[in-house]
Amino acid sequence: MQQFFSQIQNLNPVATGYFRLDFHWPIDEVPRAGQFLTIRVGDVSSPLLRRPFALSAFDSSSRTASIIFQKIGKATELLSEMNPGDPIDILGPLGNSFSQKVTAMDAGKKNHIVVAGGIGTGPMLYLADELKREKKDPLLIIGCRSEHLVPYPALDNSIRTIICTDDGSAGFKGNVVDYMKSNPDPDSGTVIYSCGPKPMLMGCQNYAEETGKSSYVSLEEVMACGVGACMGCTCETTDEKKYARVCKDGPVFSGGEIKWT
Amino acid sequence: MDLTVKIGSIMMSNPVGTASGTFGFGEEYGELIDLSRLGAIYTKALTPEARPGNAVPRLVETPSGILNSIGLANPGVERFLTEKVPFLDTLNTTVILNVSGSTEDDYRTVLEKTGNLSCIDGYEINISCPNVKHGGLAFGTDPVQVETLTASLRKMTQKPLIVKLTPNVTDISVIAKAAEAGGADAVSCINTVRGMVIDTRKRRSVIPAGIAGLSGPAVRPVGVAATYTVSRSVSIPVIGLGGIMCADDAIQYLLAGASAVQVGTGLFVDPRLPLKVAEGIEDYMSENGMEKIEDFHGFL
Repeated sequence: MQQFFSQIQNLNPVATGYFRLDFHWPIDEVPRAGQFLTIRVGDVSSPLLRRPFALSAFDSSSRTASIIFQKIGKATELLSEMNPGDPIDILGPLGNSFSQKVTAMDAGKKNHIVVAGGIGTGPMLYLADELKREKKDPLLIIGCRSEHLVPYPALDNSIRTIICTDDGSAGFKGNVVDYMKSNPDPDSGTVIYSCGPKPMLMGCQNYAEETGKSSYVSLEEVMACGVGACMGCTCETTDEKKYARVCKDGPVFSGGEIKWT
Repeated sequence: MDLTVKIGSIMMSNPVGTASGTFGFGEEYGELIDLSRLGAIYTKALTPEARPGNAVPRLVETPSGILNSIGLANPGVERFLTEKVPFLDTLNTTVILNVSGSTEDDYRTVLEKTGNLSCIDGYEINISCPNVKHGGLAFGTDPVQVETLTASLRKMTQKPLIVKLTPNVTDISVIAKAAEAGGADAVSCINTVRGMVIDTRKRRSVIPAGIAGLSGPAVRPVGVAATYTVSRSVSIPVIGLGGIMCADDAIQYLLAGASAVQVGTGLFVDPRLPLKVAEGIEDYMSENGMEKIEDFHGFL
């Protein structure tokens, strides 16, 4: 990880309230799917903290990295108002990646389902791209409340993608777990990766357990340091340590590590 | 120009350190900044037993501040010895071990088990954490307990003892004098300020523990005032902290009477901040014809 300044290359809306931000990646360390970075937005004391964003894409030839963010607060509002050429203060890459966390046995399996919900779509687009490049033909399932929240411009048409909407305005009507239950995958060796709201992650984990599949989740939590020093962004775990740091021990965990309460 | 600072028997290369609770045990930031350029690392609080910490969420951002309820999460002294000391042994930086507990014996146990470590240059005695149910703040608000605890620990070590004071008292100078009477080499002020954020939709505190500790720029005037008050009440050095986000903030603390400062929440915004603050202090001294840190004192 390093702290560095970069410049915004592109900033475009990809759905209502969602933006894709592309920027130059000047350091040698290549960010992997699941890892994140923190951005300092503005030079003022409010918003005070840096904000974490998961990598949603990385082009190694052009050294361009991307994030997808939702405009939901002051920091993301300020970010959405920036322009190509503007400098951004970045700390990263932070946290572990799916490739670091997934066991060799699971990585070698045939079927891979990548589940994304809402703003959790960003890192899962990158993961689906990584799996595609590894010739694993992932199935990407994206859940949104309605069609206007589906990030169509950021999707890769070469990846098998299922859209689920709560209101049925696009694709399957229902949530991502409903979809998986309605279209059962008979292979108990399938690996399910998920990122999104906690109830969705819990649903994916329960479904994986019920069907004997492997499950990995990427968590989101309010963060301060982002490097594992402050112990602020912890999640409850099932082991004797009771808590793990989302920023340093995660954000990717195996589903069984997390205490889903 | 001389930026060194003497706290008890130790000499820090410059007055800027990293505040306890924000910097782990140093290793976490080792990739980002040159740790040898820090005046001191004040470690995360260490207790005899491992503590998992408080329920989540533990953090909420407030206007120009952060409310935290970490709950002294730490590995405990035994794992500290095996997991943290090997890294601390490699550092060429002053390391001050922050010690906390629920009873006097807790503090004594940590000092007993770490007293022979060459990588520990001194102790910061945390009697002021608002986020634990027993001990912590309870010690820090009672001058008799502060003097008794400090005197008890004083007998155990020749290394500098720094007592970290809480602002959550009527008169912080009374507590500072008690620490001095007990044999403290210095006091640091301030720890976090009690605060609360309520989720109006759920109609409950955002932090499960309810009241938590506020830090960041919002508390800087409280810290500067406490430093000003305490430095006029005791003869031992005062280490100022609370909301330092730039060199000018640190200079305020020095002018208020501090001999050294700590950067905490500001690290989360810019990991390089302690180094920038030290450089800014040096620039200020150069521009104002100051030769040493003591030259900041006596203006107010």
